[in-house]
Amino acid sequence: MEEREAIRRCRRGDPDAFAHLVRGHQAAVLALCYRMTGSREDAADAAQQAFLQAYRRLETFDPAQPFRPWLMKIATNECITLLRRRGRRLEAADAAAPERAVATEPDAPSLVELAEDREAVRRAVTALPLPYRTAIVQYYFEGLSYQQMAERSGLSTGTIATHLHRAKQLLRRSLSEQEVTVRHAP
Amino acid sequence: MHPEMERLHLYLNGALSPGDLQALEAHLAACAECAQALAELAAEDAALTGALGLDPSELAWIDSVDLVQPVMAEVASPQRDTPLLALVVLLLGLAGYLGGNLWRTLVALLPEPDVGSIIDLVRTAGPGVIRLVRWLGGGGILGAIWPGLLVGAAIGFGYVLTKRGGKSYA
Repeated sequence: MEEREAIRRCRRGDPDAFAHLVRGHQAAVLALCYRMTGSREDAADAAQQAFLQAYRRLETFDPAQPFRPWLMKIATNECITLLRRRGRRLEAADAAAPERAVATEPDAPSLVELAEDREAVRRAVTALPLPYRTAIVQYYFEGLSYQQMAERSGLSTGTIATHLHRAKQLLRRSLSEQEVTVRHAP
Repeated sequence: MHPEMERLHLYLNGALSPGDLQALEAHLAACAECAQALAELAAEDAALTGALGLDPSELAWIDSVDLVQPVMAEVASPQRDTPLLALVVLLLGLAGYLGGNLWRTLVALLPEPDVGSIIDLVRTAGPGVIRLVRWLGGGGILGAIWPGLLVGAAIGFGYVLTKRGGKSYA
């Protein structure tokens, strides 16, 4: 069944057609949710909620537009909702992050060197404040352009650029600290 | 003057306006330091893109998860939450109504106050808590709306209960 046909049938009251959409997009939604949350359990939770929200809001979807970006926006929002529900610690970190991000050791290893440890990068990304984490995942994982990120978030491309720049500063700092910890471990 | 890093990010993403693009390219052609910074940014972008890509084990996990069954179970029974919510609201609303009547009955046993409205109550500034309680229970605004408040709380409680309903993943 074609995607547009599945959407049309869903909107006419055939919920079974939605299974076609879930099957076709679940891998992409799960992957995004996993990178956003850093947890398989949370990713599955957020992805399921994203599909349910998509189903409930299908009437608001513009069939002239592609379905995937609309769905991924819902998935991103579900991840943010889930992560916010996890605790206020994230918001406290959000407030302190920009100031801390500015100060980076001048002789610290480059981000290119630090990023060789993929596992450390992923851990560091999931520790970022939500706006920066979202920007990093959308740009480096989803491969969105600044324009697409701006459309999805409602922010300007200039703000997106600032978020990415600060996110990279935070990542560099976090990865440097991890490296120092590892180097000095007994 | 060197451009800000954000502008270099925008340049790499092709998000600069034609005027800004021309100015930046002119600067980059004349400034080795900025050209170097741009090359480093591009290398960082490539490194982060590589680091965030999915590993085979992650891909295998994603392939193993089936969201169709749990999602369709929810989609196919959209009314499942509604009767439960309605039942919770109905029962707690009934409890609120009965509780309200019981409250009024108990309050009626208290001595009759000599106030007719909240203004009278404030004006007389009587120290008796009994008079305030009697006024509230005997037709005052709180006495009239508190069963409603209880129903509102019941709706919220029922909503939370239904939202926490069972989830299952493959």
